[in-house]
Amino acid sequence: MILRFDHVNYVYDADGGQPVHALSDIDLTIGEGEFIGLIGHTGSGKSTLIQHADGLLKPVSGRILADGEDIWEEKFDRKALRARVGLVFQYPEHQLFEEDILSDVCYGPMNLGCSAEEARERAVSALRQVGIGEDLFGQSPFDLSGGQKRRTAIAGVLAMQPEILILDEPTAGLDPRGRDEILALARTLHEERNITVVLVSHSMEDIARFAKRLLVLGDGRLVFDGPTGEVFSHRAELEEMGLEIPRPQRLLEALKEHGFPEIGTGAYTAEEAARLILRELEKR
Amino acid sequence: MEGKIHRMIAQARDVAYHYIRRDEEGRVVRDTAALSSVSFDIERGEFIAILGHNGSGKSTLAKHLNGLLTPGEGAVLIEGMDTRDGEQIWNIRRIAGMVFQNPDNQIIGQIVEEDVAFGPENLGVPPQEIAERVQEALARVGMTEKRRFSPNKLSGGQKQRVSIAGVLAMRPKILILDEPTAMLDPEGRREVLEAVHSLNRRERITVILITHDMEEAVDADRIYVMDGGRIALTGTPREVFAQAEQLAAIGLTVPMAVAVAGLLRQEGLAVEGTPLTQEELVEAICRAADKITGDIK
Repeated sequence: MILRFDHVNYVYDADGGQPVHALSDIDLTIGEGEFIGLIGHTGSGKSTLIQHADGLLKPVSGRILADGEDIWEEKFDRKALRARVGLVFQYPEHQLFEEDILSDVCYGPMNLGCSAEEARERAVSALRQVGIGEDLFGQSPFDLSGGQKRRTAIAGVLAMQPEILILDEPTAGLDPRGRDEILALARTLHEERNITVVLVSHSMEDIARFAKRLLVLGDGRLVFDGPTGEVFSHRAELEEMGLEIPRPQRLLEALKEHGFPEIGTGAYTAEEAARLILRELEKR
Repeated sequence: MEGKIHRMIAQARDVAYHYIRRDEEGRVVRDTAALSSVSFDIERGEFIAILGHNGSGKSTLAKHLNGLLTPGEGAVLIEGMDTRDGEQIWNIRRIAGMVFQNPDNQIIGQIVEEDVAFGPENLGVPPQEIAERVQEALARVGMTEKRRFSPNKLSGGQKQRVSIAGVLAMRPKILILDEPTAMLDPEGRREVLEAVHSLNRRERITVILITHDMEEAVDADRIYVMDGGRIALTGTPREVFAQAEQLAAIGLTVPMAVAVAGLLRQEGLAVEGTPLTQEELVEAICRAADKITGDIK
């Protein structure tokens, strides 16, 4: 699915005393099979933006188009849209509620009108994708580790078979291993299933490693939209907005100022940074 | 004991704690050891970071330090007071204040000032003194300007600093922070860490910071690494992060500077020591590069 934001504006508390312009003239297209990062300071409009993507919020003006169709037209099936655009909220494990894991993941497809049998098939497949083994299917979600709980919650969204998966801070509160598992899962879904992924994160390092395109929101406006490396070259503007550039890139820029004027700075992992440093030293 | 000054502000002696689940008849259906033979001595004014994967026992340990949990075996002493002593529990909670991950769950007041006043009000502090304490606590975290704001108009970092002010208004000697930056954007993270470091440096408040972010542990005086309910590693950040393999084995990483230095060394570059920060690493690389140039000459 191609999802287009056509000059979208959104105002909280439009009728009340203190209207807050949460989104201003957002114009962008999420193409099929993209892996997009979304960053911005707290209150920049990220959550408001993603809630527009599956019709949880309605623009005050402008349109949201799913494959060219206005999702707020009367005949448009927004219930189906919410399955096609899978939204994984922050701390999704807080919404696990069924007695066992399999029933919890079946809930979404059942709600969509799938037969019990089909719901079960979808749930099993989704749990497999997130790496939850069959030995755990009968367990209570509350007996799982933090990383497992979060993966189970993501499976609940995958069981709806979305075409676009939006992950809001999916690694917050997880340890390094749990974080890597979730990010590897996002990459696999993108590469092997061709699911469009939108990753919202405060970790510039995670964004840099995974997203090919980067959107930057600041006070409700889309300030940058471009290839990740290109956007991260705007260091001063990003820092002005309370954001950062990834640590490995910061290191290389510091080296550039300390006697390595020729060194490349496009590195997002320790491995890439080390490679660029060695390449520079070989010249000596 | 009265009036005696303890150099050790927090001590644990062979602490064990089990989470026990029972069925309706009271039979034990599960018994999980969350802490096993944990012992430590934390000095007044130290900045301690506690690292460990999810489920390693970090938060259980933190909850022992202000008596939210009490040891199944062994003892935890806060300024010499045993956390199992019911008569001391309120003194202990006043001395050891806790800040959690999600500021939205901790802020209850409609206005910043009211929220910060909540703690001392509960302690029965006289109104005049409450006003003083609130003013002082907000100044200490740099939030005086926002004192009349509604908390929901604040950024994540500002909210978390209000949570810290709420604890400071109780005049604690130990500040325990359980992943206080996990939900914050980069600026919020920096604001909170600066506030905490400044309290530690300027006022010698003992800080115990639980975190998943290795970079946040770099500036600590000492690190405890938890694994399976035990203290697996301890030492200065430089000592602990020099043990990259042991950390990897228990699912943790090292700060970026340490990782890059390790990779450069593997390729034969003579990067010395364990550079913890970007600045230290840049220096070490420059020295290594000078050596290469010198060798060629």
